Amino acid sequence: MNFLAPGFLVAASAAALGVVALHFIVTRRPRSVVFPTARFVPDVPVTARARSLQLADLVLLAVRVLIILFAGAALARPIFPPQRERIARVIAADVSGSVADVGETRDSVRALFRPGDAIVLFDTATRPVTTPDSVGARSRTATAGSLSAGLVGALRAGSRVRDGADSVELVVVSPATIAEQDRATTEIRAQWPGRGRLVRVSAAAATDSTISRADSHTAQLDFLSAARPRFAVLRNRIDTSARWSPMATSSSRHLNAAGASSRTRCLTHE
Amino acid sequence: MRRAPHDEDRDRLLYGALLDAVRGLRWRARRVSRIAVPGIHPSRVRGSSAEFTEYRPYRQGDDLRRIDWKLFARSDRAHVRISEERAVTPTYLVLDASASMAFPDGDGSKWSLARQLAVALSSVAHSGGDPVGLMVAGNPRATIPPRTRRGIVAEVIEKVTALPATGSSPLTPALTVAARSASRIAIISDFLGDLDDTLRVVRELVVSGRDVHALHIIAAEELDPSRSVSLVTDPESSDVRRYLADSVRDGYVRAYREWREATAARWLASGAAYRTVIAGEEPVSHSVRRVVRDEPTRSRAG
Repeated sequence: MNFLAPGFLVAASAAALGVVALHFIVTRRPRSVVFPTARFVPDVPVTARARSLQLADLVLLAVRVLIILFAGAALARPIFPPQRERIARVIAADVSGSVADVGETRDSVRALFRPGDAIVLFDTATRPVTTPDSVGARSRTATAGSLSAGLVGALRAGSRVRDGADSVELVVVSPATIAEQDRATTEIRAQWPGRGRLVRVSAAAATDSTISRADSHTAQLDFLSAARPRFAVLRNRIDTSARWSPMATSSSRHLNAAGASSRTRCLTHE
Repeated sequence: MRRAPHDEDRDRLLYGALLDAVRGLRWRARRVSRIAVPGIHPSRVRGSSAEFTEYRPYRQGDDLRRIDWKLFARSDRAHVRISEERAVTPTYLVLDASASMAFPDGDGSKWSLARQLAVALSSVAHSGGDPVGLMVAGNPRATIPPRTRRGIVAEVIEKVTALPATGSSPLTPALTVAARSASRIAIISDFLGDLDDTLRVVRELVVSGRDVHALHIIAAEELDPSRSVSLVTDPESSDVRRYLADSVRDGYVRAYREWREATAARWLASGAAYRTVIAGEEPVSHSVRRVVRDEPTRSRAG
């Protein structure tokens, strides 16, 4: 809780201290009552013993102090910032036949996943799940998946998680082969408003066999070209025009399109 | 000021129960009456009623019809037959309506008790055939002349319930006016006003043959005041403002007791019948019985 005008709170605290002080300092006058036989009361100076504190006095004091403090707190304009995560993730995990090993995808998703994130499994269709363990739980199709379908599912999932976070990051865990892309892929991904990155996993040999290494690399660049300036990709090869920056990832080892093992890096286009 | 309907209902219930409680009581006169109107009280007037008292030798001017001729034949002397007459006793109730009577607040006040006593005594006197009147010594002064008509008690109730206890009117003028047309006067007051003048007038009334009753109304709070420290003020004299605390409470109790004892002695010395009535100590009907039966004062008030 923060206060926009904390001076009022300080002033109220000072006033409350004053009330407490006055409560103990004030001299009480006896109540005045009508008494027909007052003439028989001896007309002498009266000294009455000071009254000891009674519970009623303390309750009265507490009520007075609380009223002042509440009034001061109200004038200080308190604000309660909402409880929001800084970044939420939508993880679009490819479980189609384009992936060589679904276990690798599951490991990547498991390492990326945090509570509050959304997971969307896609092949030719999308299916939202709640835990990384659901990745690969079902039998997968032998055909290549559709990145467009995965991105559409990610957009839908993003609309669900965006209220609980300052920004939403899209993480696509996929080999991102050409077979998985179509003419709508770049258009759909261009609709993603936030940050995004691609975590590449190994492509199935059968699916990627018709694609040369150069084609594979071009496909990845096509995939990135539609991204917003802050879209990043994790891969083993880099574009010479991009700037490297180290980034910790869940998986220490990823396979490129040709099946070569390498260390994972984060590339950020700026 | 017009009273609320629920107040009237409450008064009707209150006074109705009280009148039921005092029904059948007779208020005998303490002194013989000088009134010739036939009634239930002994009269100084000797007449020819059937209640024979004595023979008296005939004197010039006596009515010849009152000579006992049989006695004259036996004794050869003329005697007049004397019989005792009964007469009414016109009664005036003098009610103190000063501000000191409105203590404490509420139904338990001295004023409430005084009003009930006035109503009950008027009913008792009226049931004995005596003319009953009311004199409220307040501001303004209210008067109902002594009458024997049927609705006189209702008039008394209406009058006392309509008047508040306020101001500091003396009792003496009302007492003087009441003495002109009453043989019996009952003063209902706390006697915190013009006591010396009242006693002077009362002594004159007693000497002149009036039957005077003094009902001293006392509040329980006056006998046993609160122990909390307070600034007490006399409602009839704003100059009297004293601090009542534990240190002076005993002095107050002693001074008030001595004043009550002295007041009782002065009233008894004046020849009046003196009673103290403490608000809330006993039912009003019991106090009325003590007054009309001439029973002694209760012990608590000293």
